[in-house]
Amino acid sequence: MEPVIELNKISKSFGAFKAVDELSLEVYKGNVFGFLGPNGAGKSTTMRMILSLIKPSSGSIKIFGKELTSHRNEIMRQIGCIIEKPDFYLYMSAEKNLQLFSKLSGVDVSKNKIQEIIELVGLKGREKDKVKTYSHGMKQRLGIAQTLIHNPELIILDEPTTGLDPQGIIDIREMILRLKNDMGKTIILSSHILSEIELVANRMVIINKGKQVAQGEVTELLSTQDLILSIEVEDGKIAIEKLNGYKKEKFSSLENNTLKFSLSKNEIPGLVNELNKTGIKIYGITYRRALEEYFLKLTHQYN
Amino acid sequence: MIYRLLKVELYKIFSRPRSYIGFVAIAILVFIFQLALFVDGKTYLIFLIQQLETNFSISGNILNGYLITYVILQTLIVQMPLMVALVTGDLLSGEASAGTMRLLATKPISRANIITAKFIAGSFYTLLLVLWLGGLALGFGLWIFKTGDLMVLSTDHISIIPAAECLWRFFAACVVAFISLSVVTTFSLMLSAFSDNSIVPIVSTMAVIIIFTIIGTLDMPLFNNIKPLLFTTHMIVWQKLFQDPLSISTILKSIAIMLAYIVGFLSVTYYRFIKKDILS
Repeated sequence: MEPVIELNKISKSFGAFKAVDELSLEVYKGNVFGFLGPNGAGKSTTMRMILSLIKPSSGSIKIFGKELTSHRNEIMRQIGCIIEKPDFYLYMSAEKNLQLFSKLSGVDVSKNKIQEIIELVGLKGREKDKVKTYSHGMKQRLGIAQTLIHNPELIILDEPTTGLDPQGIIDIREMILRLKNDMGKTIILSSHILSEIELVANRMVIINKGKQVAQGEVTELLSTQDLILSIEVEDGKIAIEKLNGYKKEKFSSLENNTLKFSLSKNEIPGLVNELNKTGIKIYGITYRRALEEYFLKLTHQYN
Repeated sequence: MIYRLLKVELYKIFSRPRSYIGFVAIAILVFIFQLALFVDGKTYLIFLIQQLETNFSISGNILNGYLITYVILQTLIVQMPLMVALVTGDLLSGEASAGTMRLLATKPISRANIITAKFIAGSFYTLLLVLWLGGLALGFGLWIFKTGDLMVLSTDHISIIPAAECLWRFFAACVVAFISLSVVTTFSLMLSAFSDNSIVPIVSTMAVIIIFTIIGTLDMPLFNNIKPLLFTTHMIVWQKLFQDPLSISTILKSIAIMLAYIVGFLSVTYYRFIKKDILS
């Protein structure tokens, strides 16, 4: 299958600072592709390069099999996007904004179609109000409406749930799944929250400091074969002694009476059993997938 | 696509309240001027021509609509750049500061077309402003003060323009004033391409015009050499249309210099905006 988007070793520097460093990736038709990284990792810069807002310092971008630089307008006709935050002409109504942006996308959209989209994003009844009276969540919904108004093939959403309340986050998530499953759209979704990507994406890339850390199927990358198990016990040192070398090769650290092991899911019962036999009190057992642990470390480092 | 984009740009300009500030200000000022001249015009005129009357016999309707229009144009055209810059300085930077430039630049429109549409829309706005000023001043002037020959006093001579010639001269003056203000339009548009904040280009445009105008009024050898190069020197060339005999070559030379400025400012705008990374 030919990819919808193909980034080939793209880099972008701002002076001495390298925001994106030889990033390559492929996004396939009908997929939700997750773009994951801590704040400042280079996600927005990459998305801006895909949308030709920023010119790459090196590398090439192909969208729908065509070079972005030479087929820009043809490509952009088939893309809908929200970058960073949805901004509109505040002195106009939501309906008028949608009319203007559909015109600029080269499409004459009927009033009925605009009403349909407004209803889809849950803004029915407020479409005549000026956007300056909208809350952040309503602007975010209008942003989604704006991406869909010209019926694009590819939808790019840069952190679309930022600032939304829990129900708003669920609504956007459901909308993304509907766009993928019912309408067959290809979606690129960026986030710095792993669980958000995990719930909707088929494939994902993790970037940090502009470089690719991991890329592949979400189910494979977040495989439960490789887990970080944390066991909080009464006395960590005594617990290690009493385990007497059991799973020593899987033991990774001891911190505040919490033992950490790196192992697979089916090794957990055996280890817990051994600990029970020692008579040490166990206060809690949690596990994270290795990539999740790694990503959390990255996020903490930048926050 | 450019026609579609132009319609959108014009809609954006005329759906913003700030775009009407200039029209309202002009209407108020023209009204105040005409009211003042209607009430005290004759006293003002006697004061102006009392010296002349020692050597010349002056008769007829001197305080006529053409003279009123000329006085209004001479006074208000100096303020027009501010009204123009208020709208055109915001055309690119306003979109950047509002965040809408991101959306606009991801649409299937070339950046060159964005500039072209904004330039045409800005010029159309400027043209309307000039026509509004000229139309209002001349229309009400002729209605209230009637017609007559136009007497223009300069420092070293008097020009008497026959009433029959006044209309085309005022029309030509509006065209030249439009070209002059187009220099301001393109200058503020150019500054707008360098900024993500709309205040900077508006204030910078005004600052440059004030500095150039001050340099233009200083009679010093150093400044005399650079005066012909300043666009503000040529922006008042419309006044030469009311001198007798007409100095066509001087007027055309100034128009050519202003057109060169327009092309220069536009070229820099295109270059900057096409190359620019949109980070706002």
